[in-house]
Formats: sequence, C-alpha cells, structure tokens
Amino acid sequence: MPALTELLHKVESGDTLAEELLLQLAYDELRRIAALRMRGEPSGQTLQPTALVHEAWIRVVATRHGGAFRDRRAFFAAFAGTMRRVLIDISRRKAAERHGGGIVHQSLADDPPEHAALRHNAASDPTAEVLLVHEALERFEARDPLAAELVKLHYFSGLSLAEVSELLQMSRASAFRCWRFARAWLKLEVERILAEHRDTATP
Amino acid sequence: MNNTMPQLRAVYLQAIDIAEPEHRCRFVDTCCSHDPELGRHVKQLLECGDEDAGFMTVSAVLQTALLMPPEQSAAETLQPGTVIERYQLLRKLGSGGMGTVFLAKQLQPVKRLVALKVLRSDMLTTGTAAQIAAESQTLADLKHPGIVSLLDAGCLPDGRPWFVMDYIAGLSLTAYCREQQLTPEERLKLIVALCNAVGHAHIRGIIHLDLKPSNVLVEQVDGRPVSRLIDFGIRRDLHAPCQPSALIGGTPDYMSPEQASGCSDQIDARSDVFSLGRILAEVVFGSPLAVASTTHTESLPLPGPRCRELRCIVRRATAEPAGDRYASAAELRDDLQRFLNRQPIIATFRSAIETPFRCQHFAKRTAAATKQLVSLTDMRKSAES
Repeated sequence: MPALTELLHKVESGDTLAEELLLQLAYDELRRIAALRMRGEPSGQTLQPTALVHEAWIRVVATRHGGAFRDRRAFFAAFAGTMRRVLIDISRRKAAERHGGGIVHQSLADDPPEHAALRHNAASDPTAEVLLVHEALERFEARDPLAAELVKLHYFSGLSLAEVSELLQMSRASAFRCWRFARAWLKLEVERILAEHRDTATP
Repeated sequence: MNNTMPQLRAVYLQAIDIAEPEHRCRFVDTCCSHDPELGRHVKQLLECGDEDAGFMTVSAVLQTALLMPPEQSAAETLQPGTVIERYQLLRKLGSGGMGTVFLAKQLQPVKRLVALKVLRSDMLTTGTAAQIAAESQTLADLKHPGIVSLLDAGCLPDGRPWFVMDYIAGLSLTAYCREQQLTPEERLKLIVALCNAVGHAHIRGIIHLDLKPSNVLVEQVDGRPVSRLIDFGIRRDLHAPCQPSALIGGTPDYMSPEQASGCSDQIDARSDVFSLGRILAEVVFGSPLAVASTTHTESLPLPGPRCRELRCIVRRATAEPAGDRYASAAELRDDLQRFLNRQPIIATFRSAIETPFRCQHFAKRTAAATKQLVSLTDMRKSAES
C-alpha cells in the first residue's frame, strides 16, 4: 500500500476514494498499536486516542474540506466502520486457522468461523469476544443507534470515552453511563447468542 | 425483546444508581408495573452488568493488534539501501544514546546528501508523523549558521521517529581542536560561536538539553572553522519525563544537576549553560570535569592569571545551583568575549551583590528573558493537553 502521506495527498486532491485512506489508516493504526504492545506499554485500557486518525482528520477534512465527510464525527464514524471490518476480517481468519484449518467446511453462510470457535468452547479464544460483540452489535444498532455509535468508536476504534463524549457531544458522565448500558445489553445478547449455538450445535 | 430501547435504558440507568439490591428490585418492579417483560429485561441487564469482569474491557483494536504477526524485526536494524519515504539510506554514520544516524540520499524533489537519524525503538512515540512534524516546526524554523537545519521528520510504521538534517562532513568539536592544534583563543572563538547558536535557539524558546562535543561538528568554510550544532532537541519521550540521552548508556559529564536528578521543572536555559561550561572546560583544559575536580591540572599555553580567569568562567557556568550560573548562553558568550578582549569578566565576582551595578543590571535583564523560555517538553505537554 502506498505511504499514508501520499494517500492523504491524493484524498486531498480528490484523486482517491476515502475508503482506501481509511483502510490504510486502520492497518497503520493496528500495526502501531501492535508495535507498542510488543514493547510493553501498559495493557488493558485503550491507549490514547488514535493519533493517526486525528492527523488524517486535520489534514484531510479540517484544512481542505475533502468533501467526503461532513464533519469530524462523520469521519471518525467512517473510520470506526472500516476498523471494525478490518478487525472482524482478521479475527475470522484467526478463528478459522484455529478451528479447522485444512478441513473441508460447509459454506460460510452455514458455519461462520466464529460459530465454529464457539462450538469448540473457545471461551478463552481472543477472537471470540470481538466476533461475538460484532454480531450482538448488529442487533443493537437498529435499536439504539447512538449507543451503538459510542460502542463502535470506543470498543472498535479504541478512542477513549472522553474523546467519544466530545465527538458525540455528550457529557462525559452521559457517555460513561451510555457505555455501561450498552455493555450490559451486549453482554446479555452475547450470552443469548452462545445459548443459541449450544442449542443448534450438532451433537 | 420488543421493549423500546429508550425505556429500557432509562429504567436501567436509574436502577444502577440504587446500591441496595432489594430497593433496586422494588424500584424496577414499580417502574415496570405496566410492562412486566420490560422489568424482566432490566433485571437481566442488571444481573449481567454486575458480574462485569473482563467483558469488553480491552478494545477490539487492542485485542486484535496482538494477533497480528509481529513486524519483522529487520525493522530494528535498518539496512543501507532501505528507503524511508523519499530518502535512501546509504551508510551508517554512527549510533549514540538516542538512535542511529545514517548518511542518506534524498531522492526527490531534489537529490542531495542528508543525515537521517532514527530514534531507538524504546523511544517510540504514540504520536504520528504529522505530530512530530508539527512539533518539529519550531526546530525547523531555527535558521542560524551555527545550527544544522532540520529538513524533514516522520515516523516509521513501527512508531520510531526519524529526522532529516543537513549532512555535515566535519569533526566533532574536540576532535577538530585536537587535530588542528588550535590555540586557546581559537578554541574560545569556537565556543563563542557555539554560545551564539545556543542563544539563538533559547530566544526562540528551545532548549537543547543534550549539549556535548559530539553534538557539535566543525567544518571548514572558506578556510575558517565553522561550528554546527546538530541534534537539536530531538528527544521523543512524549510520555516519559525528559530523559536526556546521557542517561541511556552515555556519560553524564555534560548534564546539569537538575537534569541528572530528573527535576524536570527546574530545567531551563541555564541547564544548557551548564553543559556549555563543561564543553568549555574540555576544549580549553582537556576534560569536562577539569575545573570541577581539583585533582585535575592541565597546563595551558596561557599565563597563570588568564588561566585563573578562564577557570572562573567555567566555574560560574557550571555552578550547581542554576541561580549561580550565567543566566543565559548570551551572558556566557559575553564574558568569554570580554576575556578575549582582555576586559574584566563578571565571573570573578563571587556573588550578585559583589558584581558591579551595570553587570548586575544586564544579568537581571537576561534572567527575566530566561523565565519566558519554554522547553521543548513543556511545549509538547501543552500540545497534548
């Protein structure tokens, strides 16, 4: 992939689809975080807000009005969407590797890798949570779009709740409470999904 | 799950504020008396949320980042031939406490030789290329014959920052003085030029904090030696407090006491003055600690009284409390200039009270200017907040 700076130039001049930029941003961000984690940065909570994306926002939209995004929130929402797709893609591949690489599968529609993962009781599987939350979120989005947006920005993109609250123009307290609710809802939904799979699993 | 979300959310958020489980239960029942299913749902959520432990505590991006195959650690050691944006690495020039410097060729828009420095991997920044470029802007704006220009900056995919500077084919200050067998006066003139360069940066709010002879290259221009300060403020510990490179496997001989002890709030332009004093000692007397330790004696082709005066200057520049030092690089330069002109120097006066009024006044004026100086770390901190 071309260097990020080149891409930014292209988007600024209208040459490139914003999607390509977002994809590059997402992968760059992932690599950057991976490199930092390898070096023992404190784990757990989100690292600081995705600096890369801020940069892209400043350069593309704030200064040049790239046209692809109405505002900062839209830009970050788009980035979060791309990041989510990238993460799910990676997680699915990893899950597939773990739970049946090489063996003939049924079609993807019948048996997505995450369900295979679940059937193998891979509760400790690092890909499981991401994939399950993704599925649960799909059910959540239609019902509570704002909370879903918060989840996408915070959980999938890794922005801090403080950052998210600013983007969504909520108070930090509201953002925190919204997060609490969304998390509880998603957790309940994930448990339902798991139960569904246990029920439908072939004995 | 046909409950309307707003109601569900509203009841849930009110319920979690109630600590006592029984009261909470009763609250939910009351609220949802018209809709028992809603009540059940809220209770399920409450139960769920209570045994939180580890669900969605780490962002997906973080979790997934760990699954990515590790970048080949060929990234750790960059090879000649590697291309970083528009620069091609040619050969390694040296490596120091902070990183590795390469001779590189700029490929576009013009071809020329540059020095490209890549910082060590444990000085990774969580910032980005643009952030570094923005923060480097002040450095880039430094235009002085005694300071090497910062041409470009960025960061590698793995987060390591890199900087591009003029390439200077010269010797370090001490090596140059030795090889060219410079007289004490010639050496002092080089130090004066160095003070000018440092002072220029100080006026613009930049403190170097890593002054040492290897950071001063001397090249011949029109037959005259020109000193060039390199590596200005290129420390990228955006999160750790200022860690001078000397602490990372280097010698602390040039570091001021406030830097060595990590009291970052006491670091200011006078920390640079300290380092200049050490450099002065080395260039004139042979070792940075020449004047500090009484055991070290060096004979100079200078008469005794002149030697004594120089020692006074060094002592003043390297005084332990910053308040006893020259208030600025310009003040040190002025005293050196007085020495060269055989005028009385102010360093011989032990304290401010003894210093004649006009010297005092000048000292006070420059001290006031010093307070307005902002260190690079401060600038970074305020940019982050």
